[in-house]
Amino acid sequence: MAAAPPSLRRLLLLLSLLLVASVAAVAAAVAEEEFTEELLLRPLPDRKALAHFHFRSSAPPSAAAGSHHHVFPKAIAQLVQQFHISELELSFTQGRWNYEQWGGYDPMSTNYAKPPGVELWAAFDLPLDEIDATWKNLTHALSGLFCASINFLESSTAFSAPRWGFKLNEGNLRYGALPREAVCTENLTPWLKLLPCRDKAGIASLLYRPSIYKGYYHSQKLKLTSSQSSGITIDQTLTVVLQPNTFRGQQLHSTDGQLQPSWSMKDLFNRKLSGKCRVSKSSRVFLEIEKDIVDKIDKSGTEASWTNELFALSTAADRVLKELNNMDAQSSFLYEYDVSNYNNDKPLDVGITWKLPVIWSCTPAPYHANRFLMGSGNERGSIALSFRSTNLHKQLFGSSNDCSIKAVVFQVVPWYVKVYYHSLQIFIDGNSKAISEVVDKIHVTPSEDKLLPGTLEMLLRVPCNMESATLSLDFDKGFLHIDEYPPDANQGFDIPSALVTFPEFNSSRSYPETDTLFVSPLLQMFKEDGVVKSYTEVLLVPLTTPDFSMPYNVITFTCTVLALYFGSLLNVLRRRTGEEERELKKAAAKRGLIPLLIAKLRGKKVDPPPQGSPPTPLFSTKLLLKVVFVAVVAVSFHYLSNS
Amino acid sequence: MAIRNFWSMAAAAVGFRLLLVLFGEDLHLASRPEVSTPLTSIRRLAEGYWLKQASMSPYSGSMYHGSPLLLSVLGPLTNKSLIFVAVDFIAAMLIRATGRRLQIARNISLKSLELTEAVSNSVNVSAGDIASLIYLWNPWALVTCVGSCTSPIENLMVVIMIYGACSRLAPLAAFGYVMATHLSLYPAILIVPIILLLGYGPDAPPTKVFRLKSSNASKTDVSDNDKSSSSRDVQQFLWKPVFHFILWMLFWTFYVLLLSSIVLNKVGGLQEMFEKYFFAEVFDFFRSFFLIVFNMNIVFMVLPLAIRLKHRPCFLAFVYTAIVAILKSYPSVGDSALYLGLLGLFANELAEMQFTFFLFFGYIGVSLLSPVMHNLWIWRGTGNANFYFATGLAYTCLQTVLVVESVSSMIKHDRKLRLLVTA
Repeated sequence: MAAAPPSLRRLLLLLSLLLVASVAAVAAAVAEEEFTEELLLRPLPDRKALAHFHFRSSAPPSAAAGSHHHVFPKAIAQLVQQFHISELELSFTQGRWNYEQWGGYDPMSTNYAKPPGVELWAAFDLPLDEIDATWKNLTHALSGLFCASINFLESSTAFSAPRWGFKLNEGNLRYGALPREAVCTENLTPWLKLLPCRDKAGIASLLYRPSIYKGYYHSQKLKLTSSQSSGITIDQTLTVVLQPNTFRGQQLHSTDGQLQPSWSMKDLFNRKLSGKCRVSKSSRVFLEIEKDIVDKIDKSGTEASWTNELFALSTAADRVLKELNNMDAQSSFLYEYDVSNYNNDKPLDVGITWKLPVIWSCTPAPYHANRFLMGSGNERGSIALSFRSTNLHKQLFGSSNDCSIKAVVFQVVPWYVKVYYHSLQIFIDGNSKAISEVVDKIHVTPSEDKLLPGTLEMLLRVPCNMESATLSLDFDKGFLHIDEYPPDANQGFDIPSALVTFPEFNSSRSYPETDTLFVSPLLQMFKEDGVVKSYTEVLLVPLTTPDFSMPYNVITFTCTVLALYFGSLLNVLRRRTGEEERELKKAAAKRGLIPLLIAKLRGKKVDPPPQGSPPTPLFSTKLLLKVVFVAVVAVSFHYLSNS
Repeated sequence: MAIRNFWSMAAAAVGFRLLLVLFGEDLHLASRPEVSTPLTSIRRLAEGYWLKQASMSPYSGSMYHGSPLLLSVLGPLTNKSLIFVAVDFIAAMLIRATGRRLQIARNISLKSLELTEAVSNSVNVSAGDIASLIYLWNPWALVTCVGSCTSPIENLMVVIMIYGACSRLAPLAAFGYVMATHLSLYPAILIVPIILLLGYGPDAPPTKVFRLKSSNASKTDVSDNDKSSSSRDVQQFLWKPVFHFILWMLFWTFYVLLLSSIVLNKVGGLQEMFEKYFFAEVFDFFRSFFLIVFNMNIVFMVLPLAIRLKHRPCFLAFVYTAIVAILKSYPSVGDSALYLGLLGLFANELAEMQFTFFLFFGYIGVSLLSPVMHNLWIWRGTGNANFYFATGLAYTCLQTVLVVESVSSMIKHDRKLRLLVTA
């Protein structure tokens, strides 16, 4: 194959593509619900192992089958019908994908490396003014369906509408992320319920909870695409990075380095695979060997069969797939196992045993993107985004100096982090650059207090020979209302991950199709749009917390001060010193009623009033009239209000 | 009795400001919460200007809440502090001129009451000089100017309005009034003292005193000549300047709206300004009960004060400014700088004010404690918000005492004049 001239290879590729297209056409014509299950295993350079479960269910256009489904989950079909979703992706992730060790330039990292917590985006097939309301309903529906607090994405402060930074769209896409959402079995169980065999049979039976939640990275994703012509397809994937808990074959024969851990499915999941899910159309297990290892095998001169100088697989593979690569460099291998060949008596236990210590590395993304916070205190700070070159473009495009690399930055910041977009600073290799030199296109949606998060979409063009670049944005920390703080306010608030995309780099891999009647969904995903993406870290911003007993203090003290202000100012304004003096003189001359009575009680003779004014009667007619008037008013009011 | 070294001291103040502007970068005054509020911060103005340059509405985020005019005037400038130094100097000069007017008016009324010796010998300083020096050397005014927030411009507009009304220049007063109201809305209540100033003229003792004087005079010798002079002393309300003021006010309002609509032409014009600036930001306080109460409190005292102090409109303007500074939603030291400057105008009348020692050191204490408490709360995290709040409360108390004491001593001063006349 490697010896074939390029023109012949291209012809073969074209032929296979044609075949694939015809197969798809046939499938559409037959139009029945399908389910496939696949598992990909891959050893990682840092002594870990990656397991990627891929389940695809598809349903023909609803007009053909009505609302009756036999394999496809009904809940999802109703969701699509109700909310007119054209595309949706929901991921639950625990842990962070390690872009340096586990690779940043392969389909796995670009499609299945997700930011921690929940990420949800959806594109709707609706008029633009109905989208926000539909999104809100959708979050509630998903929240119920997956037992998660996705309903927090309902608030307009939690989601945004990116135009081109995340995915090119016409304003019908909404994006939201909950970085702090904890992911556990209660999210996995409803996810498994969507599978026809749940975790009772087939590949999903490997999902032994204690072992998959022990891993370093755990990302559970649901991708839904729907269109009038091809019906609904859901891809349910679960990507886990595990530490094989085995020391079998630990014996070191050589002095130069430690042997990689040998593992098998039994070690990773504590289960063996005994047969496929009966309703699945195909059920396969792949074991992927990275390009770097293949190189090493080639150097040693042996063929990359299932047992060679470096490693031995536990079972002979049904097929070996070699990546179709445009370049002359070596490419990765896939060992394929068909689960339908195995059963309870003869379970499948794919594993790898290393014979020699091997050190290899995965292909990194063109730039490592990191994000961090600068500054101290609770008043202000800066967000910095740094790019570190991995010199990938030199391997790919040679070392020409006047080229440039495009990078798209997409970032959503909650409103309480008030970003000053005018303070954007760019440093390339430590030197400050003008914004217009580096930023090709920028789109900002500034945040509105308690209403809208800030969204930044930015297209950068950086020179190829750049070693490092740093972008910084200043922000002020806002004050939240006292009941907007979560129960653990002092923990701080999370800023969702930023997404960095390199549109000029494509990580898609294509493998030759041997089975002409069936296209493996996993390999199809590998082949599809694989623009290199990487998510940055989640940032934790501590915000000023008030003393939570304060409102009462504030109300009482402030009211006291206000009373002081009013009282004293009115007193000053009202007082007329001259008149008061006159009044005092008069009062001294008059005698009050009570001293008069006291004097009478004591039996003393009362002095006659000096001016000879008549003593006021206790119940004057005027007072009596007033009392009667008030009583009448009260009675009539009572009567009227009752009738 | 003018202050001898007025010009050298004023020049020194301006020089000191320039020095701070040039070498005070490390003070980071622009980010102090006491100096720049969300409404006056120059950083937010820069953000608004950036958004406008990116052909977005400057009000599209909740960063900028100021006037569109400030945006187009201050936005393109790189060194804004120099503008603020000039603005402060002009304001101080206008305060001085206002003081002169008040002094002349005071001398005339004292002469007509024949109390020149009795009052003037005890205290007679050039109030205008004192007031403008207080304004120039007030540390808070310095900090506000160097910290470059927009409050010096708002202060200048208020001063222009008071000066225009004092010297009965209706167009100038109307311009100041319209601009000040446009910039921060609170000076709207100053319409009462402005109309009184234009109608009755600058501050004078109460009319009752003049009547007493004239009745005393008529007791001694009844002649037509004296009667005419007494009727001249008792000031009549002049409607003509007030009408002029209202006409000019309408004119300036249209002019300002026109300018704003030109500035916001690209992003929806005036509608944008009214929706995002007035109804979303300025009338923000109608959202919750507490804020309503606070902002209404400013209005509550307008009428009682106007009734009691209608013969001293300039002093009334000072009291209103002080009340606004106490109760407005985003107070800053810039507001205090304005009313403390105006306080200097009444140095003669308020010479017998009480608690001045307490007030002076109270102000110093609060302005030293406030940064410390803020630091403890925000930066060190060792003190909580209660400490900072307590400082703010103490500051409000001090301002309250200042307002109450100054009003009470002004009323006492009037009473003293009356007693002197009747004696």
